[in-house]
Amino acid sequence: MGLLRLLARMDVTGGRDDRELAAAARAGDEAAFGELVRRHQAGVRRCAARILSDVEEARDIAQLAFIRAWENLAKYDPAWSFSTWLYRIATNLAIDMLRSRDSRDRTHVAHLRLVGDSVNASAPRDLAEDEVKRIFAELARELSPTQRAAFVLREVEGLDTSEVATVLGCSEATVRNHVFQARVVLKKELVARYPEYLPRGGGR
Amino acid sequence: MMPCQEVRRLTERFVGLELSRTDEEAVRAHLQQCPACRAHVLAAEPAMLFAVGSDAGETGDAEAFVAGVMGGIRERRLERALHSRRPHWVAAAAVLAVAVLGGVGGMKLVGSRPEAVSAAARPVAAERVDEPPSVVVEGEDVRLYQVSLAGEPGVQVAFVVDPGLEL
Repeated sequence: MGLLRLLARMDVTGGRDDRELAAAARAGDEAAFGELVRRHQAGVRRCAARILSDVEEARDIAQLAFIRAWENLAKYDPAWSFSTWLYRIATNLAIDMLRSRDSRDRTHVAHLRLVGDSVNASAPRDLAEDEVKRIFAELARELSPTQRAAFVLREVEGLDTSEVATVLGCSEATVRNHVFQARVVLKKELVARYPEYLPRGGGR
Repeated sequence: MMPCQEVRRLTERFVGLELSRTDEEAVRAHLQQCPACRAHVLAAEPAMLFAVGSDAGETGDAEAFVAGVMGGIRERRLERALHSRRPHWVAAAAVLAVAVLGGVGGMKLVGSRPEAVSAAARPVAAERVDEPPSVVVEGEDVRLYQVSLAGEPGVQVAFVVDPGLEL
């Protein structure tokens, strides 16, 4: 986990922590809110991008999430981590977006089969991050919106199970269930579409 | 950094979502740096391919993003301010129009400007008063236009207009 993400998790980057900034923002301090946006925009955008598999849409959703956060600062409970509250808003917006997409979205988008690379069959390729994103974007279409959100928050963003439960508004057991189900689906699709990228014995 | 041996020992619990936060963060940090241990984890759970990659994110234009958010906040605030004013004028206009059409009390609102009443009462086609009177509605000055229709002297229509919105 990167240093910035770790520090953001601790809510203590810079001179004032998130809760102090949120309190100032609630009192109308736009600069304080701007600092919160600056601090959390990368994580929120990355999370939305992984859930939506679309960077432009993710940018719009992340922007809307911050605007909603500003408009609802009075409802923010400082007992929560500010970033968890923010993830909750952004994730709900992203899930709504996924659910509102037409079914044609599933059938229209061509499967992004990676071609042209020679593959060492005896070991998993150390895939470039862009390739991993592209494959995930393709395979994640097979997940339900909630499974996708749970997997991204728990596995990609590395949030605690309890944090993910708070974000999704469900129990920790439900989060684990969503994550394990998502893994089963992803593994099945990986075996079917990209067996060359599996480690030896990993497709069992 | 957590040693490889320890990462291998914790792999099963890592995949099972059973590690403490501290241990999980240490394992994840190790996996970002160690292809061999990453392969070990992927052998246990291939779907972790999407979970243990590099930490790179779409963060290139942070300041532009911040500016976009703050601009969006101001835009929404302006929209809300305009939206909240609109029903005020619509309601005031509706009240006055109903009062005038009903023939009771509507003209009394502009009683200080009798020329407006006489102009409205003349049975001419859609005649407009050149210098409309103003009235105070909820503490703000507005202009009151009155129109009467030819052949129907009993029908009069009043429009309440915010001077700032007049063309």
